[in-house]
Amino acid sequence: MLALKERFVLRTMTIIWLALLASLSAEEGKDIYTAHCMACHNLDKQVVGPSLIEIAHYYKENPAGIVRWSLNPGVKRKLAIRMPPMTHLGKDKLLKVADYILKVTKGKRYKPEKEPEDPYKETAPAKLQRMFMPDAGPAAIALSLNENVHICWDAGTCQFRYAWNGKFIDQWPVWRGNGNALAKVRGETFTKVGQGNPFKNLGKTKFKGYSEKDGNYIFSYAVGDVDFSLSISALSSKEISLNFTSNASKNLEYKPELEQGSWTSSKGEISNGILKLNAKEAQNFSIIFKAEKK
Amino acid sequence: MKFIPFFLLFSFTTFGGFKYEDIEIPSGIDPQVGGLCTLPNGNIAACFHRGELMIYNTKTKTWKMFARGLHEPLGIVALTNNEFAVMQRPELTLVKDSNGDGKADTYKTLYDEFGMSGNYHEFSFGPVRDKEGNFYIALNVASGLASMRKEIRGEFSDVGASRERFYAKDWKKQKEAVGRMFSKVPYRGWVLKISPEGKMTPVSSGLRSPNGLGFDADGDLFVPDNQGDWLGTSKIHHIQKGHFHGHPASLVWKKGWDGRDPLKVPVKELDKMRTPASVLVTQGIMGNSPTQPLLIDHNSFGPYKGQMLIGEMNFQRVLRFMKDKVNGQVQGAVIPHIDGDPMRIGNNRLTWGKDGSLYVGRTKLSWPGDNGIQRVIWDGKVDFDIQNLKLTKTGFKLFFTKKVNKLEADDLKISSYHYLYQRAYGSPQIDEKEIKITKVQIAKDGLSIDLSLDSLESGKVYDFTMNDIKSIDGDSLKAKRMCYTLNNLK
Repeated sequence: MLALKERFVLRTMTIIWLALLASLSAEEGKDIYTAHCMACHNLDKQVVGPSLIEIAHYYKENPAGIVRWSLNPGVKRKLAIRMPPMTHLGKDKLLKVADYILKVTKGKRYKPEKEPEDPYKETAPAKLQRMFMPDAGPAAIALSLNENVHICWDAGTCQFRYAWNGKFIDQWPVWRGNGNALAKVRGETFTKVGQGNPFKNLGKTKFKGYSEKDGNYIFSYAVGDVDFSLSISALSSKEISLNFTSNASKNLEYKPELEQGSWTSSKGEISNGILKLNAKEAQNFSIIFKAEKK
Repeated sequence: MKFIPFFLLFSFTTFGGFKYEDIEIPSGIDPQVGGLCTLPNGNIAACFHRGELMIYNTKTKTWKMFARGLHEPLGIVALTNNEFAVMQRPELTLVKDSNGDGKADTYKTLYDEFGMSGNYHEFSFGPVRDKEGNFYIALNVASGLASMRKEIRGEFSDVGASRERFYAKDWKKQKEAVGRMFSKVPYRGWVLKISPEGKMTPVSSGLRSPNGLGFDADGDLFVPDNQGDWLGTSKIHHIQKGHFHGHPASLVWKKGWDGRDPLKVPVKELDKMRTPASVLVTQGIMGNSPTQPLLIDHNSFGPYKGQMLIGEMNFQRVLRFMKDKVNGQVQGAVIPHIDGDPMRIGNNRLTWGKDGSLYVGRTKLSWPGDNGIQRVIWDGKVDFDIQNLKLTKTGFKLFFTKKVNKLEADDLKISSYHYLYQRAYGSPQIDEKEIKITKVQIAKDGLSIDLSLDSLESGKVYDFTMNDIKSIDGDSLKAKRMCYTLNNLK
């Protein structure tokens, strides 16, 4: 049996020894941290990943927990990107990083940060903005026709998809990160069609781009061997007009997959939801979409 | 004389052989730079994160808005002073001012026939042009950390994970079948060639995150790729028609592919199929996320004409690539060229000013990075630096920019290692060993050294640490570490 005093000395020495080891480990951990972690983490600020103070808040006296997370990371907060697994560093090195994190944050208190706001929210949006939009293909375009009426055009399927009344779009969900989100429509959708191109009997669609003059946009595209130009205008707060010109030399059928609202045409005849245009009519006609009468 | 604002007089910072100037970006613009190019008239065009294309007048130091509304543009080349080819997420577009009012009015879709699943990671990179005027673009694969949109553009590949899996309620459970990165719509993970008329030819496959393209003086096309699944470390690929660069997801779009799920092809077989990268950008040493390669096509940035610079996202650094052609195959070394303060991280896009200075555009897109544009001007004084590195039959030949004083075997440490080719993310350094230098021979002119080594193996990185090499004037080396990737022995 060791005397009480000797046991005390031994214990003190062990504690000092362990503290020294942890401190040495933390020193090495600092170098590993600098090379492999620092690009995404900061001591007291959230950068790409959480601050070290926040990490230490979850893993107080639990360096092994930091190692476990680093080998198989999850996602704790909404919209955060997942850390790649740090398996290439190995458990030993990760433990040194964990020791460093706990050492450097000692005595520092964690205060949760607020969700960031758009720092450029005062910038007026472009009238035409290509972006990820809801209820459309990934190659979508948002176009503001006037202060209150806006539409979504799908450059993938070459067609008008929906129109809404109210404000334009909230782009911040998309711009705040890497694009893993959709813009939000800031108003009430009053007419909407499905994915299929209404001229699809003609063949494949090919988007050719658009031009702008005095703030008005004209889309160009082909369906099969027919070239179309399309300008879109607002007729009232819940009514828009798609104004087509084409080089059609044959009769055309137009069949929108209507999901909301109603539609009519300036030319031709509509029966059973299909508009029939003769070749001459097909060269210059308008389709009007509007809200359904209540 | 007009009053010159006080701060303008001091807007340059000099450090480590370079002068630095922060280019002021107009307020209201999210200054994450996706594309940067130089116009024939010497002005600089930049594409920003939220879709602006702006032109910077280098004389008056003022900006003009040229176009807005683009979808995450990540590359641009100027065709004339009034027309640009811009790579947007969904398409390669010719953006043109046709009436001479200084603003774009025509947006012509040159090529949009690649697929989009709507997954956020499907970034589109490029373009660069070859001498015939063809465009080259590169398409990211999608990330298994997110799924697909209900509406997609282009054909869906039924090889491997079915479409239902992507819409299953428990997405996390589908990930094993889907893979960490996926290519379920055409040409994700490929480099494509687009003719000036918009006709597409697939070039090469096997890429993961090819953020930036660049031709060198010999017409060789280089594309970086980023550490991750199937990439033990980041790398620079020499793009050659018909080659497979190692990330298997894109193989489903290879003509004549046998219909096997690439994730189920034995790793050994994939390893045999792949062309190893020309240079490995050693993780945590040289860089973590290399970006656009840019040819040094002049002598106003030091004695390195003909080599390439490569941007780096995670380090305050721009790398230099020293190409070495051995048995007809490109390999070589990377070395930090601009390094540390006041350089910042996020160095995504590079272009040369007419005066030979380097414009560096930064971004982050929620990853490690930064904002804005920095101009880097060489101070005209030649630093003591590694000018070039070549493999020899017995070791390496180091070329210096100034005469070397002396070199003893202890002044330089070399180690070798390799990385695993595996489905898991990244790789540790494998079989690391110290390489003994058996002979040191300084050339008569003092500008190069021949090193003989006790071991030279293909498939290895040779990692040089050069702390104690001095010039005859007593200068220390500017960069003290470099990594050579040895694929082929002489």
